[in-house]
Amino acid sequence: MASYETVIGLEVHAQLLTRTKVFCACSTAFGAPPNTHVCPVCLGLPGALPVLNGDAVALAVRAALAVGCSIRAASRFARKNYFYPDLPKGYQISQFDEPFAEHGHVDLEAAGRHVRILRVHMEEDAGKNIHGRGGDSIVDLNRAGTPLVEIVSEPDLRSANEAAEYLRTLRDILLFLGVNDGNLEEGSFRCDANVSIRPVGEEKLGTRVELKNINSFRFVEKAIEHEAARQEAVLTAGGRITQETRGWDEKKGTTFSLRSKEEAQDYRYFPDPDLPPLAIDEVFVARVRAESPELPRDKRARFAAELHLTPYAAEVMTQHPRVAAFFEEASMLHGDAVRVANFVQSEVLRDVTTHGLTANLPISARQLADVLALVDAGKISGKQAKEVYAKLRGTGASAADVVAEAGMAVVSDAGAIEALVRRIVEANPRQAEQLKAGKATLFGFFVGQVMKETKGSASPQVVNDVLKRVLGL
Amino acid sequence: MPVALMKLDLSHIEHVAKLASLSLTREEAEAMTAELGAILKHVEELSSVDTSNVTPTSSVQLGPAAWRRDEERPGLSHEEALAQAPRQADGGFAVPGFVEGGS
Repeated sequence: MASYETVIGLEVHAQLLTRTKVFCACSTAFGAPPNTHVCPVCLGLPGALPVLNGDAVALAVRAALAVGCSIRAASRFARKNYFYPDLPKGYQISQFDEPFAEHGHVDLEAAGRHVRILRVHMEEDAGKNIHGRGGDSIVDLNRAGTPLVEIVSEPDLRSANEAAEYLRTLRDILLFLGVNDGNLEEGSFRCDANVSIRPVGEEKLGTRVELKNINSFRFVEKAIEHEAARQEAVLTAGGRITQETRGWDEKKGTTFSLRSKEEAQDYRYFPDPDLPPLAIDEVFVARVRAESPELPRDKRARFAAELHLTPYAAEVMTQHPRVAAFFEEASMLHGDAVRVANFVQSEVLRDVTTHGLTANLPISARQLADVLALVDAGKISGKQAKEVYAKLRGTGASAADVVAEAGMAVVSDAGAIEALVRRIVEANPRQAEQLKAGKATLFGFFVGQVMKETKGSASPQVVNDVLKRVLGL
Repeated sequence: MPVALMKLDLSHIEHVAKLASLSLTREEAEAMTAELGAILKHVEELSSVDTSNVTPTSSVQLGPAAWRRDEERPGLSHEEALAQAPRQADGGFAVPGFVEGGS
């Protein structure tokens, strides 16, 4: 029996984070009441003319440069003609034979795969349909005209796992660039997968099936795995793969046919006469390049090389742009990035929630740096630092005030500890004599007694020093 | 360079009518075949002009267009937007129910 390999190419649609739509000045804000962010242009009313949003072009170019594409000096908008209730003009403004960017690549670190990018083009989004209201479907055109980039990969991926890594890598790139909020649930990052299989060793591609609009990374993996297995079963049984578009049924865990090739749409693309060629000159590209934020892989490399984080810690600190910014700021304020990273990993991260580009950070970088500085100064112990952090969460309080209020500073004060040590030594004269006579294991006994009295809040370094001095060791 | 255009027959008309969501009677389709054929013949005559040194014109605007700043401006009110909808429900355009198949 032949063994097969899976061949996958992905098309990602990512919403560009502009305030307004790509061809009109309507807001792109998510969640407004239906049909309240609309105008004659995005409703497709007669006589309305599109005017291109320059910031959308800048964000699109930023995304294309980040995936290594070259930018065409001149490209063209084209009309993609089809009928659908959420497409008021009867065509979508997209790019066809002359996309603005092409020939890029994305490198997958875990899979060690070099994935070529065929092209990146700009287009407008369609509206949104709401189903299941009686016999009708309801069309909301707030989203119609939202700027998108479509990023098309070559069929270079070889497993569902690699496809998921590609999507996560791409999502992180766009998130760190501030181009897209990476929100699959709200549809601002969407993916179609072209899946085929071929016998191992075969060069020619098999017949491909397009999987449409899968809205989570987990479903992408499951849908591709299922589809590859389905195709293998068909071929093994002596059948042939039909070129078609399939959807993913997450309840049943299967793919199902949406449209066969016979019904495949003929979009009759032609240049949009309402829009002149898209001219992007070198000066513009250079400016976009200069203004682009640092990419996640560059940040990871820098955190490891310059801030001495382990590769794992660097990975954790770059899981979200806001976490990375918080870590960097706290590191700068405190001075020891490794200690900041350790504290963020062990304490802070479990309290962090993210939504798109925003993150809820429980304390400020200043507060975190101050907590660690109090530990450095011997004012509080490492254990107390965690308590101080817990008290600081969600407040704007200063670390020093929290320490003072909780009375923590007293028990780490060398003078206070010395008084305590003298008392404990007097209460245990026999152990003190034995320790002075050389029974070193008893040192731990005295440390333990001090810790017990201070409920573990004394600085171990201070306790050690004071004990040695008092006992004359 | 002159381009020899394809000959139109009834199947082309039927295909284009389907893409345009038009239902044509047999008579209409036949009449359309003749009429569109005549139009294409006219275009064919135009294509006899040598344009090999002429850049294709896909837009009548001269030069690249100015880009818009990313600044919000009020559009239509919700009432205005829906004013000409044959049917509306829940603040939206009501259309016969359909299952999402995407484009």
